[in-house]
Amino acid sequence: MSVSSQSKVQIAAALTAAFCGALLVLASQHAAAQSAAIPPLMLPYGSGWSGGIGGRTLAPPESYLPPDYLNSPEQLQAAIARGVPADKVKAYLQIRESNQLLPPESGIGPITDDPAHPFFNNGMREIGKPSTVRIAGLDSEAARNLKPWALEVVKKQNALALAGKNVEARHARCWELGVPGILEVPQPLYFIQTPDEVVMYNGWRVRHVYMNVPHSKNPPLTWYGESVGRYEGDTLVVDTIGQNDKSAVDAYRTPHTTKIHVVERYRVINGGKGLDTSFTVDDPDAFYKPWGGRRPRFLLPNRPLNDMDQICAAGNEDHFDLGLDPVPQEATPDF
Amino acid sequence: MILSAMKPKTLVLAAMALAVAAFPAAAHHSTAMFDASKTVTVEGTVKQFLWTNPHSWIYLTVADANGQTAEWPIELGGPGGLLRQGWTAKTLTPGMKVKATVHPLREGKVGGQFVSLILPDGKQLGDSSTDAPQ
Repeated sequence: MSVSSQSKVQIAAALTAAFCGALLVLASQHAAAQSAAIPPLMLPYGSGWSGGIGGRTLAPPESYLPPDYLNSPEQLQAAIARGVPADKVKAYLQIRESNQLLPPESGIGPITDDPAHPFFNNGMREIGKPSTVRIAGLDSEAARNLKPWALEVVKKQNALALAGKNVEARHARCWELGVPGILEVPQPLYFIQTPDEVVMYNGWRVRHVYMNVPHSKNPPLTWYGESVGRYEGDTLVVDTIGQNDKSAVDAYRTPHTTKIHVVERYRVINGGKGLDTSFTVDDPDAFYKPWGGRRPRFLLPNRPLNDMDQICAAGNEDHFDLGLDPVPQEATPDF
Repeated sequence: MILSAMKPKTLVLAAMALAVAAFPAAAHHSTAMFDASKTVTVEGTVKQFLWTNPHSWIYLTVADANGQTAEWPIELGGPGGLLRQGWTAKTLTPGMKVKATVHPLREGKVGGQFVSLILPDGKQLGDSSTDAPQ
């Protein structure tokens, strides 16, 4: 080999080494950037994002509830109008949140209870209020946002509930809930994060969010539709279409159509103590305008998955003959 | 037999039932159908004991003052919570005579939410697992 040939080989080797080194640096930088960009929604085993069930007082309300909700004069007024003592308002707002959608930071919010028939969930006995049934308030911006047919559905459910019939939320009757209806459930929410998919497990219900891919052109209509996701900084954004029209958007049975389009945003807040969850709903056949809401959760340690992994349907018949929704049954297997 | 008045001993039992278990299991539905401000104590014969999630159930055959019998459905928490409070699937068997205290249904129908129970041997059992928010 000539000197000149040897030099060429040495130069080529040096260039190759430099190129590989640069690739390694870029790859490690990319990996670091990727891992830094993925918010840690997935918790160590034994911890969950509690919706409030049985643990409503286990976290300070300030650790996960939005300040504009907790300190809102409007919310204070609404609580007082429902007969909540002034010194119990903060507790009321915290317990209320354990199975109801909260208003958005701005804009049209979800349906709420009728002030003339205030809804107190089971936890409200902590503030001296016995449990009541849900009656939707129809004198609200949210109710006026309903298309006439949707308003009729809510009115029909109101009439049933006022007569003491069909007073249970769908999730208590073991139904699948759709989005955003599933956000109301009090069971802990668990995430499993992988690069291609985020799995959301919420009280025996499972959702699959496919990451960084577009929606299908015509996804088949299903209970939870087709969800695709992406990270925007520290926020997981989930975009869902393709839902069937069998679910309701809330426990007041507010209906929707197959055109429903929901965008959810999940963000860990307060050093990991809270999970900020907000969403928007667009369904031009059910609502005049898009609306939104929130459903914050708090970190609940020592709550292993199997502790809440209940069987819903066994023993869940309508024992008291209250005209409850039947527990769904399938006569033939789908496989 | 329906024992309408709530006795002091039952009051103690009810208080015990509410005091147990700082971390109640999931009562996953509303308790609005029950009148939590009232308790009714009934004496009857166990027809059926359903050891099931999310709620267990006692079907109790209760006779009124005229000797007419009715089936009282009584709702308890799920087996997980009940186990921690000393219950088993065999705690109640058909034919067993027991005294049960419940929060009655608001509509005046028979049945209610379980508060406490006295077994034939005098053993007392409570259940605090029916108080989660929903």
